Amino acid sequence: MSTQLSADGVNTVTSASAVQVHGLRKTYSSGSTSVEALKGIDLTIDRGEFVAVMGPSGSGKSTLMHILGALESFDDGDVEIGGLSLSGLDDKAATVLRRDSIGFIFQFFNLLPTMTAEENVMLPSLIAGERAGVLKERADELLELVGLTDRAEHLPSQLSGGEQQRVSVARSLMRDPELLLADEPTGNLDTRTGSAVLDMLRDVQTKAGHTIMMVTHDAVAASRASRVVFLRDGLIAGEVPGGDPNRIIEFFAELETRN
Amino acid sequence: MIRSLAWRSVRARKGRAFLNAAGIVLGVALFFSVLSLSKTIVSTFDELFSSVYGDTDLIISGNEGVGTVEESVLDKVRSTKGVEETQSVVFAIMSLVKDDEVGGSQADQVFTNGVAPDSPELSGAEIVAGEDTLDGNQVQLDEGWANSNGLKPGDKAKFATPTGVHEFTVSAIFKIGKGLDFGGSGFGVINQDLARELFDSPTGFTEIDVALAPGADLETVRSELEKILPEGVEAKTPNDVADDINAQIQGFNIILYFFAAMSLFVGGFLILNSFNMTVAQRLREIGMLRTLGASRKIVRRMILVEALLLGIIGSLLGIVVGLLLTQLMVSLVASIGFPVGAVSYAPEAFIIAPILGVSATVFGALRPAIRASRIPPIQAVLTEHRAEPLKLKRRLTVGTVLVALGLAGVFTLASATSFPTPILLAGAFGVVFLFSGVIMIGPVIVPWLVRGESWPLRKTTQIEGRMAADNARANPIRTASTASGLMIGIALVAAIGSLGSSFIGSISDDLDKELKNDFTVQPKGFGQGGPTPTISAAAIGQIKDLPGAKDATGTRFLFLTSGYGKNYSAWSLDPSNYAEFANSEFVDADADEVFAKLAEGQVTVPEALAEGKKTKVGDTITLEGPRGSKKLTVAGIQTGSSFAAQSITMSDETWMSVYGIDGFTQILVLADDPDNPGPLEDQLRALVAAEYPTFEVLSNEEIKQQIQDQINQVFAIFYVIMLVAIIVSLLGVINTLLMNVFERTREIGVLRAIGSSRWQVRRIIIAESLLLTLAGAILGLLVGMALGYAFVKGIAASGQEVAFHPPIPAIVLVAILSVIFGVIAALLPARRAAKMNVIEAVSYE
Ligand SMILES: Nc1ncnc2c1ncn2[C@@H]1O[C@H](COP(=O)(O)OP(=O)(O)OP(=O)(O)O)[C@@H](O)[C@H]1O
Ligand SMILES: [Mg+2]
Repeated sequence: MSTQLSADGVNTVTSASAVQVHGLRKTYSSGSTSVEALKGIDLTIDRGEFVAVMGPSGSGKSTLMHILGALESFDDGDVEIGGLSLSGLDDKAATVLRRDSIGFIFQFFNLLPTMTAEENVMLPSLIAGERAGVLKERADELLELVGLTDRAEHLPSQLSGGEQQRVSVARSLMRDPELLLADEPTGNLDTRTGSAVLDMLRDVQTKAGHTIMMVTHDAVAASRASRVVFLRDGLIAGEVPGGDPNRIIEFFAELETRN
Repeated sequence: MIRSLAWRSVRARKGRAFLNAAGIVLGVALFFSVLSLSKTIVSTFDELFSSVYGDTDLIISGNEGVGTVEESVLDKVRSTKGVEETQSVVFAIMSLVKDDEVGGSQADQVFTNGVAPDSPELSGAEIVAGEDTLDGNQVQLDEGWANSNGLKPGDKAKFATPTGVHEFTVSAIFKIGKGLDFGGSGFGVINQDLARELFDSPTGFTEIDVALAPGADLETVRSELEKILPEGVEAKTPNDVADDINAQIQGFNIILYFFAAMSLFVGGFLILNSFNMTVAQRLREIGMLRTLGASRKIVRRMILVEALLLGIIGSLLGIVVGLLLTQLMVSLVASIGFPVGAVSYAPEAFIIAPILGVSATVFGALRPAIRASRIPPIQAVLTEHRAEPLKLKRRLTVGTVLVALGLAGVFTLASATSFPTPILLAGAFGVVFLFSGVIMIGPVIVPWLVRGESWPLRKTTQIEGRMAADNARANPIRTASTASGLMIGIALVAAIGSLGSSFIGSISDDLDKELKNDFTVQPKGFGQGGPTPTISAAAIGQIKDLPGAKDATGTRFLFLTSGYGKNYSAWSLDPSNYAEFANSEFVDADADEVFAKLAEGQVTVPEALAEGKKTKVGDTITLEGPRGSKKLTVAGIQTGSSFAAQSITMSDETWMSVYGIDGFTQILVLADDPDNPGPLEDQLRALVAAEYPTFEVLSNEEIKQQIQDQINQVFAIFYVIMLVAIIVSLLGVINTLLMNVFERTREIGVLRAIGSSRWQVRRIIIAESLLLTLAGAILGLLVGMALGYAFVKGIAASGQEVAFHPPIPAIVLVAILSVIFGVIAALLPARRAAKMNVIEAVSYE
């Protein structure tokens, strides 16, 4: 366990780690068929860590992410976000958790088409009932952070994919969440743009000390993380430190051949 | 293949299909029930007349039942060849007096014939209890009414008659026809000598019923009779009489049909909007079919067959709902005092209503089908469809022209004094043009309207108002069409409301000027049509003698159904003192001079009638009554809104020489001290309640209130019909909201993912719904008031005195209803949005 201060250094730490997962199980059942998507996951993510999650298709990456994001319930085990247990959370509490402690970055950007970039960034705080006047300043700061100051008044349809994803990153940071969740954030971008977005994300993360969990299929993208966790058949299959894409590719290849 | 594709498509979109069908169901149900309602009314009269006039072949009475026939006519009729038997009748309305309770309601009334006890029985009545005698104070009553009032042979019962309360003994109970009972007034028979005394009818007969000799030919006898009957007296069969009454309610029926047609129009419009959405939703699927080789024709047919299926299913269900709705309408009509018997369904309704329903559906789907057939095969692979560009300019010009034509058509109808088919069509098409014009302009103005409306919402909410307004403005055609659907129903409500408030407002303004008397004694429910009870001259004397009474005068009233004054009324007054009781106003003439001429046997004509007939002062007009036809000089053209001012007025002498009815309709009363009329009022009310319970005492305020109530009551049924149209258009709102929720699945999912609560999402949809319903309400009120304004101006141009008064009650009603309906329409779509699976919504493209 490590303690980590946020960039401004004033936040006191309430819990040692951002995410703690113990014996997490999740079974999807529809009618007579049931799929055990997660079969007992143990995972700890420290504050300020940038963790990438990789694994073959169907290994449970998205399921894990949705559970951490309080979008999906689970059957067994325990999950804590910032010290708060997600067991038995009702819809209202889950909504508040998503609003105040989680930031989402989606593969398909998911910006609201009728709102400008700036308004999209402010959206999470507007939802929380904060006054627009105060929020503008913070939104502009974030847009500057992701390099889009001159695009504040543009609608999503007037932005490129990479720019939209940057707005989406800014939006996820608006409420300074405990945990950022990104499901294949570069999946819908070409390699160069994706890489630029990731650099930016990485930059922001190290500067402000955010905790990020990112699902990806791309070893180069994963190498930007501080460590890479592998899933296979609903279980953690191992992990390697980030930095070297080749090592990640090797591990992945070995994983595929394992029985 | 087309059929199975269409069928599959209906099933795949069950929710949408259900909403569409529901619109057709309601439209068809309404049309069906309106047809059945008029059928019920017609057959009630038919049955009534065939049972009341069982063995009667011909009825001899004043033209259209007006006035009384001279007694000498009876002998002439008797001696006509082919006439076997006759029965003379002296008629009046009596009203049961219950233990000190003031009665006089419709259900207390008995339509009473005074007949000679030895005269042959020509009605279809059959004695079922008691003895068939009519001596002295005996009365015979019909079974249905006697039962509901607990009267048996031998019982004593008090009845109010034109000359006061009289006690009768029930001698017999009779049954008419199949035991007809329409839950309202009853029928009674008393001795003719007693009737002459009690009904204040010393001379004349209300009618003479004739039975023909066996083998005599009806038409021969009728033409023989016509030779000997004085002018103004007719011989008619009971069927003719029923037909006359049915012809009178025809106008009412036409209005009912029109409103029912409007709700089908709304139903067709719902289909149009809905199919447009379906086509938009199925772009890729249709493009796919086209790449697979389906021709345009097949695509078009597929949509039309789907519409046909919906139309058929909706129409069949519509008939089922219509059967129930008919019951509701019949009881509603009965509650405003229309005589209606057992519900009878019009056979043609089973054919016409579904044909109209299917046509409305297919017609509504026509344009969407053509649009769908124009979708290029390439659409199968394109992800987005470029929305058709809005041709704003063209919409504005065409729309404005249609609105102008529409208002002109309505004005034409309203300013007409007679109503041949072209005029009626001008009015009906006027309304349709007006609505079509507004529908055309809708997409241009509705986005602005929504923006304006959403202002308070945007100011008071963080994101709900903003999101709702964005959604509503994102697809201006869809939003405008949905609001326009609502606009139609609401506009008709506002138009009816405008008419009502204009009449009420103008009448009470005028009455404030006209009425100088302090109290009016008149029959209960006066002004609703039908035979009215009368009151004797003796009552005027009694009233004059009351302490605190300064003076009183009697007037007589008769509704004219033929001749010069058709659809107006005749009014008699005492020219020597009438000016004390009312401010009568005449065009370019002094009231005193006009009254002096009335005393000499001249008449006055109401302004509207004079304009219609191009009558001027000094012209002669002919009034036909059972006492003869009279050529009378016009002394003045009268303006004003009181019943008298809207009638042909004459002196009591002139009246008797034409109509021969003694009984008075109204007594106008002046108090010694107009500032403190209370003591007189108490006395007067006590007197009338005790001796003339079919009459009531009204202050001027009460008269105004009564007219207002009567107008509102007549309009109530139109409101109910329009409510159905509004409900149909609400289905359109639900449909649009569901479509918007479907199309915005991703956005709603994102909101939920980043922290919107279910309630927040619900509120967005509710806000969106409110924006739609309010846009419909605002458009509807504006269009409706324009419609009402054109109508009122038209009526004013026809010579009637009416000025436009904004329909404040209707506006308030619409405002409240549109909020309530907005929330209701949002329930299902909001629920769907709130229950959305967030993961699915945000994960896939
Ligand atoms: N809603 C659901 N209902 C039923 N089964 C589901 C559902 N969601 C996921 N699954 C199943 O759970 C397992 C894990 O799915 P998950 O989406 O977490 O995999 P993933 O690792 O994200 O795969 P990918 O790399 O393809 O996105 C799969 O077998 C999948 O079929
Ligand atoms: Mg996945």
